[in-house]
Amino acid sequence: MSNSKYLVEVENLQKWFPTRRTIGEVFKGQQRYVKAVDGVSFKIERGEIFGLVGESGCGKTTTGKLIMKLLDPTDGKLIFDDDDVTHLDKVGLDTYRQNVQMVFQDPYASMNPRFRLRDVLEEPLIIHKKGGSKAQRMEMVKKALNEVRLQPSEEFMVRFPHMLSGGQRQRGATARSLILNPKMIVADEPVSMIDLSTRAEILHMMKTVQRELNLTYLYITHDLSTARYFTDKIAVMYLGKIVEMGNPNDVIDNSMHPYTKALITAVCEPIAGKVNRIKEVPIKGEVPSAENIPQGCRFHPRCPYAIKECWEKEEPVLEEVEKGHFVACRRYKEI
Amino acid sequence: MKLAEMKDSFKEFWSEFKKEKTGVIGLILFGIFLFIVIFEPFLLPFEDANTRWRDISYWEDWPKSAPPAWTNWFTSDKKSVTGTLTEYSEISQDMGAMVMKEFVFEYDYQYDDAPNDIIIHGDASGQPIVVVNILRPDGEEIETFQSAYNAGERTKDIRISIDNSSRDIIYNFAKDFESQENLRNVKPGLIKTTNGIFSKAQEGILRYPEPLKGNYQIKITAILRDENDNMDTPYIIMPGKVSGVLGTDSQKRDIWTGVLAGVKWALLIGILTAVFSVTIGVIYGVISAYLGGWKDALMQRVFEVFVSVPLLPVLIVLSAVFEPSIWMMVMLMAMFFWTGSVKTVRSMAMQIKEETFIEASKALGASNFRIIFKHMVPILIPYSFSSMALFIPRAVVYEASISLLGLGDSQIVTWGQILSDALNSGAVLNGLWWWVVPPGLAIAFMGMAFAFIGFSMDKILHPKLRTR
Amino acid sequence: MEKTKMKDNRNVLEVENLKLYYNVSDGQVKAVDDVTFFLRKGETLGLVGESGCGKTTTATALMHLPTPPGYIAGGKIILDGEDIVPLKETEIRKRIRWEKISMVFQGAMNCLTPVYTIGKLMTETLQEHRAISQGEKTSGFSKSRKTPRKMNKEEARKIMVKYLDYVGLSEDILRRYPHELSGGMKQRVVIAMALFLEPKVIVCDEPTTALDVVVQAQIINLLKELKEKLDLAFIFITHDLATVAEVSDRVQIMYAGRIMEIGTNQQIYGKQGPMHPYTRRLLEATPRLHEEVEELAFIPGTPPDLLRPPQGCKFHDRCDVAMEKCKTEEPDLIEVEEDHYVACWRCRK
Repeated sequence: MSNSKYLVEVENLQKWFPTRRTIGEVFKGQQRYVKAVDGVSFKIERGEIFGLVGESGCGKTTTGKLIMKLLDPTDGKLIFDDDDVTHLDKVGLDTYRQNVQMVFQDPYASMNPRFRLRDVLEEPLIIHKKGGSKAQRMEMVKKALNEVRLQPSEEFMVRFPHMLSGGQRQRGATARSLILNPKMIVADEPVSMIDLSTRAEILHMMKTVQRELNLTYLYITHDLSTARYFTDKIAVMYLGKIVEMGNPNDVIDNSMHPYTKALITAVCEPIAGKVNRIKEVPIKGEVPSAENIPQGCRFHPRCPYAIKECWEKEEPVLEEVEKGHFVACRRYKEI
Repeated sequence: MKLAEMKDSFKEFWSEFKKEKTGVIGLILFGIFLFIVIFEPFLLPFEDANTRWRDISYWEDWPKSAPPAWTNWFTSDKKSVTGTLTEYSEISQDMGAMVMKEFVFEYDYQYDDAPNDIIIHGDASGQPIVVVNILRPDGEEIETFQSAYNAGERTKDIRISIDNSSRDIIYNFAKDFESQENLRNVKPGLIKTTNGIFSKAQEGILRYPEPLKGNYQIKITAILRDENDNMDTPYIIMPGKVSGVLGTDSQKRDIWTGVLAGVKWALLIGILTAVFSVTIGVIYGVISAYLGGWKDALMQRVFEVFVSVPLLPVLIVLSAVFEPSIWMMVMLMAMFFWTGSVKTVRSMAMQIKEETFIEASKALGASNFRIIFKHMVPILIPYSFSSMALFIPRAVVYEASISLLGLGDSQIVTWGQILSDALNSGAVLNGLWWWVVPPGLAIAFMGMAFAFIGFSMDKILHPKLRTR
Repeated sequence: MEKTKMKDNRNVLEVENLKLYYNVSDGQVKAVDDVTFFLRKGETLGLVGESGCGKTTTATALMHLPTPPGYIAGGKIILDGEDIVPLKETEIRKRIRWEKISMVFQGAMNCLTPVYTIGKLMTETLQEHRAISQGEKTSGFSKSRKTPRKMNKEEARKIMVKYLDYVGLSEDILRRYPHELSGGMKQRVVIAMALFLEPKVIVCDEPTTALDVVVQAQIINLLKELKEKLDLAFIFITHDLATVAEVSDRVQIMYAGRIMEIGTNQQIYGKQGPMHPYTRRLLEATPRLHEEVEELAFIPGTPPDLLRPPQGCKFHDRCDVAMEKCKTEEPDLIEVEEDHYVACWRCRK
């Protein structure tokens, strides 16, 4: 097994969902698609935390599911650990699932409410036939709970999800994702449902675990603030495509794409003296439906800097404008 | 450990359940039903009722369509209550050529309305001559019956119905007291024999009888002319105007006995059918919802075929082909009842399928089997219980409908059969409420018991309702 | 809090010693425990706290709509000079709710009945309080005081259009169905509906939580504009200190059913910073986009179980500056400087 620098390589990944056809379309043989993910390429280094940031409906969760192989891509290529995993047979999928785990947004919903925490954690072991006996498996569960600092583990093991606080649940969910010793974890908004006072604690824990076990994270979020703190690289998605990518400081302090800029201005900050000012939000309206993606640059209808070229010419591609800083805008220099 | 844990979770469940008033009521009702089933041999007034429910001869001594005995409490005229006389004094006289055995029964008559009949039973063998004398409290003695029997060598039950056999004798006895005018209005062949026996010997004895209260002696004399002749262990049944806990039906059967005997069958038919059909339905619905796509569509079409097959005609045909038995009925009902929960289960499973924890399991690599049976089906268990609770009365009623067509299991007594008999005999039109209401109530209570239990369980076992 | 401060003719709403309890099988939950605060005319009060701190419960009490088994166990809610706690439900419905105080419930935008057009939904809401006659002209017959003021369809339409205009939506929204609108538009519709009867106070429960950042900013701007234009008083409930900083003139922080601190925007977010250790640490835990931090701060532990609340100050077991006194005695809310109230032993001189 050659060890390249990258654990995950995504090339032009697409996911189109067919829409329900009207009678007219059935007769004409037409089919429209919701282009949830419309050609996404990025690479995640080993041991890196890669942040995928965007508003709801931008395709970040679908991308996460594609990488989790919960969905099959319409087109594109997915390389994991130097193997092409775009299409996998049952055995291949089995191995893949051991290597890639997921932490969901809502830790409560992601656990069967009828399972005690130990059953929740035991499940991956049973599925992948790890740990010979029940006692051995329980040892592994305990170990995983200790890793995420759910202590005393014996006490937490017998609790049901509804007997845990939000933070404890997310720790439990993280423990479940760690128990098979995966190489990568896809974390879909892992802290958005957790109270502010414990949110940082969870992120801190996840980062510690990541460093200790040398894990790779794909961190999906809408929250630029936590992404800045948590990630090593940020990709900003808009309508199924990445519009800007780079290390967090570049993307946030030196953003180049008008969409990223707008997102950053819109974020609220706990600073005094903003009450009586109407905030300048440079972009208008809301994200259009992924069913009819605008011609040309998909951001042009909302872009304050759009010129004729933006909708008449083909879509700008993601290009490296500084070292490690990619932008998909043809006017990034002018604005 | 596993056992202790189960005990713990049951304890937890029970402490929750105790707070549900309706659930406790349901449980109490269920407990009563269970008690009846367990102690049925001690509770049944007629021990052979289970096997001889449809045997006319088993019930022939009892009154026809008699209301329950307790209706006397609400009327000023006290009607005679059905009773059995078993105590007697026996005198045996050896008269050389023959032996005279005399059995004397005491009957304290304190009612306003005479019993329907006096029925005498005894074990006889050979060719005894039996004579029945009644000594009234006013001193009159009537020889009501005299007949020779040919019982043969084996001991055989003899049955004497005074009402039938002594009408003429009583007419003759009574006409001496009755006025000519009254006699003209009375047809000798249609008089009530027992009215003559239990009324005051005065004008109107036949037409406007007044009860003669007091102590009656019924004397049964058996004349044995041969060594082989014998008569022994006589007893007398007085089929009253009112009878038993719940009265009798038009075929003289004791309804209380029927209702009691029906409990176990109702429970059996109800629970078995419900368990089978709900289990099939839940699994079918979940699988259909989980697989989705064309498989779901196919399973739904199959489901629709089953739904659209009318169960009753199928049952009629199959009952005609096979011996109709309760087991077959349960099987057939389960085969068609499972459709009842499929739609709901499918829609619930559709929702569960979208839950994140199902996706999480998939992401962990869980097999479809595991997801269906470990994650989806258990969540539907509370629903299953409550829908089982609703299937139980449905199964009981369905069994009744089939019985109504004469296709029920003829070996058993069910509430449905009692009801359908009542319906066929026009019990409602004739005002025989005691024939219709008790089995109906029993079905209702059975349904209620399980519905209450089901809803309470649903409330407790559904974790989402619980955390809120 | 001193009574003198409370009685102030600038106040449109005064809440005194409000208690809202839940009687559950395991005991009593004091979801809102002896809470006193006020709201001035034309200001926005931010009500901040973590989930389960009683902020939404306080709002339901203000609307006189406690969720069963919750009930108002005591206290006064003086709205526009009248205590509404002892009023009967019929009275509340007729004169108070939506008329004087209205609420934008959390997630209300997702609860618009999908089968009706926005116009129909809005008409229905309006009809609850203003009988709309089918005819062209206002009926002159109804003299009875009991029936609500009558209006005809055209008038109703005018009102709807007027308020849609306030929230920045055009008239043709009336013909659309909820699913045809984006999240931001739906939230605007819900806000317009809360404005209909020109209430004095509007309670907004997490109005921006489910929205995207850009839309969030738009809604926040809208609320600011409305406040200016209509001279409304807002109570803005959220869990996010950053959002509150943008909209609230004054900020009130709740924890475990108690108010921990009330201060002006400047007092909480200014240089000096908040006084209560909870507020301070919550603010530290709030991520800031434009500051590079190595480690985000957090508060260890979890909020207390309200069935078994701790003795003394509810925050003491998570507090890093707790004293012996904090463990035994619960501090009241006292004014430490103008408009700045803190419930903490440490903050007393």
